[in-house]
Amino acid sequence: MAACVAVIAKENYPLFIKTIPTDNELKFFYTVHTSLDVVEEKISSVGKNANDLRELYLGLLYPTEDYKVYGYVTNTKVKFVIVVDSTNASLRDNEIRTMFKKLHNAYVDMLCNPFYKPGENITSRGFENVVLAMLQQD
Amino acid sequence: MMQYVDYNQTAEDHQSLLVLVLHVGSQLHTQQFHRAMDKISRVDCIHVQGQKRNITVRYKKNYSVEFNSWGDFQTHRKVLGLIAIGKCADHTEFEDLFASYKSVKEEYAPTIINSRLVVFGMNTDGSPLTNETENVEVTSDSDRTDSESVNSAPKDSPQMCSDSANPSDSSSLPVPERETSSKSPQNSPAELKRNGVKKSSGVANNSSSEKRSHSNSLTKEGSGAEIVFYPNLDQCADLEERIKEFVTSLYYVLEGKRLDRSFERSDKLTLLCAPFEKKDYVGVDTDTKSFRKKCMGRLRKHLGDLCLQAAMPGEAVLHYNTALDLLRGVNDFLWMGGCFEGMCCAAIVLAYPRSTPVGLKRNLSFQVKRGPPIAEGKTRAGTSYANGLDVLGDQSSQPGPNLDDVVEKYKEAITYYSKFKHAAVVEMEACLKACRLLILQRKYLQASDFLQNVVYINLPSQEDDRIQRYNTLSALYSEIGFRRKAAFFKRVSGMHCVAPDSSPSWSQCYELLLQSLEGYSLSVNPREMELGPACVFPDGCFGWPVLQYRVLHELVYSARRMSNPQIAVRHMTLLVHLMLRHLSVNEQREALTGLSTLTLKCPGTPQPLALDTGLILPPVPLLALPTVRSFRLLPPAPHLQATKIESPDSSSSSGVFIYTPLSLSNKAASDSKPDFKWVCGDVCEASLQLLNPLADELKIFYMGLMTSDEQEAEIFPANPVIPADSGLMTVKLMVRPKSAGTLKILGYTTIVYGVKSNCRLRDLVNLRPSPMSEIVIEVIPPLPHLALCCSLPKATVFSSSGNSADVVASGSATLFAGQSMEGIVTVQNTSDQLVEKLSVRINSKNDVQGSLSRVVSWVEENITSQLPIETTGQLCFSLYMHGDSDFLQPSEMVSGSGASMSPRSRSESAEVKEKSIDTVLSLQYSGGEGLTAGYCRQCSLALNIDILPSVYITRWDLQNTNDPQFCRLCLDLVNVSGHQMDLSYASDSSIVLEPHHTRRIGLEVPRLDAEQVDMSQMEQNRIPAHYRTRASPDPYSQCLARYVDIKWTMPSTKATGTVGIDYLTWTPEQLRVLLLSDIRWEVKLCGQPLLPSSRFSFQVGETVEVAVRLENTSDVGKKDSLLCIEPCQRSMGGDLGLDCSNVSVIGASVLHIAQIAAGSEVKHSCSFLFLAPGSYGLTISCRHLGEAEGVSSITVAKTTVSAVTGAPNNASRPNSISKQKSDNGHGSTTTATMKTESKLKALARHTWVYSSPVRFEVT
Repeated sequence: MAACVAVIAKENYPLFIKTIPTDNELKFFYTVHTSLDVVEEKISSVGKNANDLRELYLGLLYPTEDYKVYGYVTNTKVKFVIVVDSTNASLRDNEIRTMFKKLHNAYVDMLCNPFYKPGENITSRGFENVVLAMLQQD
Repeated sequence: MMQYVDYNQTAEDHQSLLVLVLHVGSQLHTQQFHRAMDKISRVDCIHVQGQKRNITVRYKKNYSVEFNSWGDFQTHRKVLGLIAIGKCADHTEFEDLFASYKSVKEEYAPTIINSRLVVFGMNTDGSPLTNETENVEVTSDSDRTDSESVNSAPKDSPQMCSDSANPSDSSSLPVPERETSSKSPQNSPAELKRNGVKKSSGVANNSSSEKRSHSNSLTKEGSGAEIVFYPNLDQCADLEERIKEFVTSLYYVLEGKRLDRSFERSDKLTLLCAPFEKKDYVGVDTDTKSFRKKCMGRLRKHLGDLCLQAAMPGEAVLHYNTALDLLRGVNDFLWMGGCFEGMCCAAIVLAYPRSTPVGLKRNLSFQVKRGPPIAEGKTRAGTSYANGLDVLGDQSSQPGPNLDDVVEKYKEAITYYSKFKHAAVVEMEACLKACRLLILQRKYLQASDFLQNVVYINLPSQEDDRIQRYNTLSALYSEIGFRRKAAFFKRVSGMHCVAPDSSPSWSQCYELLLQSLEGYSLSVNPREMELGPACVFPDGCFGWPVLQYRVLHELVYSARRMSNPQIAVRHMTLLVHLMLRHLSVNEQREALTGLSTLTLKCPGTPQPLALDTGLILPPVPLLALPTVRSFRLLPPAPHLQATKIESPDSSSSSGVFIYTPLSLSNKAASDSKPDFKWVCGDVCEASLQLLNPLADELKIFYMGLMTSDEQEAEIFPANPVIPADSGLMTVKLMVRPKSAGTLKILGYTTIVYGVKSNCRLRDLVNLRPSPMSEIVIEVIPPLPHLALCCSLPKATVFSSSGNSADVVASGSATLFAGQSMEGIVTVQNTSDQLVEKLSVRINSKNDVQGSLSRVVSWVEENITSQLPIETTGQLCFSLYMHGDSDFLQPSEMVSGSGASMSPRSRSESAEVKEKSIDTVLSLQYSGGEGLTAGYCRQCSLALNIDILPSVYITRWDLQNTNDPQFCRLCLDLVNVSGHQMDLSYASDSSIVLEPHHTRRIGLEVPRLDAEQVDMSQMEQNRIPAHYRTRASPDPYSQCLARYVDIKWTMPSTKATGTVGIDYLTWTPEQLRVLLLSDIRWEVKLCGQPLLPSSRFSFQVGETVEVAVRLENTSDVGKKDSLLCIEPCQRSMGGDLGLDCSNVSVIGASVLHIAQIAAGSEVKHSCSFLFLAPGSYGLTISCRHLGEAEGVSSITVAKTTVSAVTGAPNNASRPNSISKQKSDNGHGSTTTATMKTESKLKALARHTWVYSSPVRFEVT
């Protein structure tokens, strides 16, 4: 259902990116890359107040002609971006939220691996499986 | 339909008057036109006198007529004024110019209110001063009239003439354009002049109003073509003033229209239409209420636009509201959108009023002015101030409507516009305007929504329009801080530059791609990329490799297509440099193949490249190909190393402390500051550890050191090839310093894949152990260099001991003990410096007590006499080697205690002791400038000398002879050489010594005078024995060796040598034999002198009288001496102690002599009475007590001298003992037999013994 799932480091370089129509991978790279602008803008507009709890889910970052780009930022500023087909009407905000939650959990599990150094590219098979499940669902 | 979108339009443009500035004719240079345009466009805001209104003007260089047709929909799209700029030299040219001006004017005639033609180049020379003047205006300058009348051309005064020429001009010269422009009514110039002076701009006479579509206007405003002449661009001081007047004239016309419309309540309404609507309303019933409403509404809206242009935004809003109400009823969506947009503009104009009527902003460039409202708005928003007061103050002062509503209204307007396909341009422009407003308000997310919308607007357009659209998007995105989006659109627009359906412009594409780099965290300067955390890029210093690779590839491709291979190579190098670690093996190969293909045509250089745009492309060193892991300079080879010549008093600079933790001398050697020195003129080396990061073999075509100054050093490059997966590989780079001083090594230079890179140390961040910026090494003046060789055979084994690093040659020799050999050492000067100083010394750790000097020696004078050595000159000196040995049997030191010598015994057990000497002969030399600077070099010759044993002296003894001057030395020699040996000794005797055989030889040797023995060597005996590596020579033996000459020859090996006796040691008894007495004895037995041949025989009981005469032959008197005469009984086994009962002494057998003066005599006699028969001897000795007195117990030391067994001649005195016994009673000194043993050899020196045997038989 999702077309592309990406994990982006705090410093905004990609840690993990997976697309399902792999033939047009580059397009998704561009899409995710440019979506970071919106993510940064959204974070910076909220983060002024130290006390207020920012919601991790950023919502729709921007729609493109065929896809919708959603964003999610963890408290450590690791970004998750999910690109979904805009024709897929079944995906509502709640579903996207659940997907991000799942992704976040998988990421945390992956991070618990003591051999993983934060900032490295993610090669965990477990994490990849979770992502693949998201991409291939229904 | 509209083709072009004005991407730079802002909301403020709605209130400005559009003036078209055109370039007419071909005479005027484009650059000059731009300068004139510049000047004109400075006048963008005019304060209308008396009206308190500020009119803004928008100048455009080109504006299609199709745009103009939208002027009814939005009046700011209407061209209201026309300024044509041209140049001509004479009248015919002017004619052409005027014709083209006319045609242009015709084109825009429907909307134009007024126009001007500015002509340069006239009135300078030969041109008529007074061109035909026309209705509207003439110059108000008085000097113009002056110039007219004088008919001379004042260069600085502008000449203005109306186009409709008056033939009856005051000027005498007829001008051709009079005929062409005969349309206009003709006025006399004087009249015109008056007019011009009287009515300043604004009230124009309406002579040419029939040309205009708006001629029905009620205002008296007339549009006329006015020609302004200037000699050139620099002499048009009042141009701005003219333009102001011109604009003011436009304003009055508009103002007139506005007032006219607002009071119009006529029934014959006309329907204002957007261009595409016109055909829809053909044949529509115009008499319906809705149509009337539509007309009314659109008119209202038009009025609102006019109000806005007339700087009355408040009124405009009212009109817009009314219009909206009217139009909403008839669902006229397009115009409703127009109303909304108009309201927005009015609100924005109210919220952000222009600060001042800017008349002259001379220091602002044209580009900046393109969007002055934004720029000003930004500064006015006060965001740059930290205190926030500006922001607050600004917001509170806003009288207009809430700006949040404005955004909503824009959204509404855009929604309405989007219903019409043909209104796409308007929609797009509205989006951009809204976006610009939001940027002002720093609402970036909302702004991005509008921008996103722009992308979706489907507008069939030309390629260059698309490029411009994407550029605009990119610019706006970067303004809202969306750097990635901006980069994306820059790249897209770059791609459109080279779209297949248009004429591709690769340089433009390249330029745009270059601008997009930053958004992808790329920079043309690789050093910026490695700043780490200080990085300015949006994606950290890593970025997205996949996208970066893509963009760089496109950049390289466009540079290549631009046919600028130099730049392509530079970018390809950057790609390889940056992307290498991210690429797969295949991609790496691909990239490197691409790079080498490019560099085939144009090799990469390490120089920065300047683009036409002024951008500098810094060099990209390929630091990773190969990766340098360590970089250090190597000291010269040990034998080439320069050392400071030690000055004698330079040792104690470090103070009194042997060790201090304070590093007083900062000699801490690091890699960046080595503790060694290089020598000028020598080839010096640096060692680099290289790593090949590729999966393929890496060929480095050139690799050399990079020094701070090329003049200072000569570089010897290397061209290593690093195989794949080879791990670290060490490469040595060589350099030859050319001058003394300091040399800075900055890094290294490589040529890899055709790219020359200057890799500086400061860029090598991965250098281990520590990064450094440069290495500074001291270079000392040139020193000579010697080659050393030796005639001796090369040593096969050389045990390197200690400081043997500088050994350059070796020699070995095998000697038998006692053998001597000679070797030639040759040194050759291989440098171009003189060798002025050469010192040779033996350098060995084992050289204790100088024993090596006995093995190896040379003649110093021989060397010094041959100095200096010229270039290629040689120096030879001999090295003498001697098989030094102690000739003693090892381990069991057989003490030569005389008696038990068994002649000719075979000593098979004698171990063969081989001695091997490793030593180093060091040559320290210097010369030339290096010597003056106090440096020298050292090279060494390793010597390996094996000393084989030849002969051992197993036993030795000394025997008395009758001659007091001589004694006999007996030696037992064993041949341990394994070869047959001929021994010759004592000048004439010789024997043959078979291997392992022992022979005894006897030699007559002179007795030694105690004085001639050098006892200083004895000092060394104080060294504890176990510290001594070898026995030291015995001083007596050394002395004795002068008289002993034992030579051996080995016929089988043709070796000859000597046997030395230096290491024989002697017992005190033997010493007594050896030493020459300085007392002369004369002994008489019973009155008969004792001669060697004399025989004595006594009877038992017979008195044996012994008379002794002592003569001191030495030069000094001897004090405190003790003369002893002791009898002893002798047997075959040796001396026996004498039973006192067997002998009696008559008189004193012991006499103390207080003083024996030099040359004086002492006489003494006593008698013995032997009581038993037997063989007896007498021991007569004189002891010197002087120095030994203190030691009481040993004062009288053992003084027995063994009587030599000899056959007693007269054994017929058996009764003499009894005689002696009878004498026993009356001896003053009874017994004086003292048998104290003492090993003190020193005493031997003070004891003189009568050496001849005193033997007799008592029967």
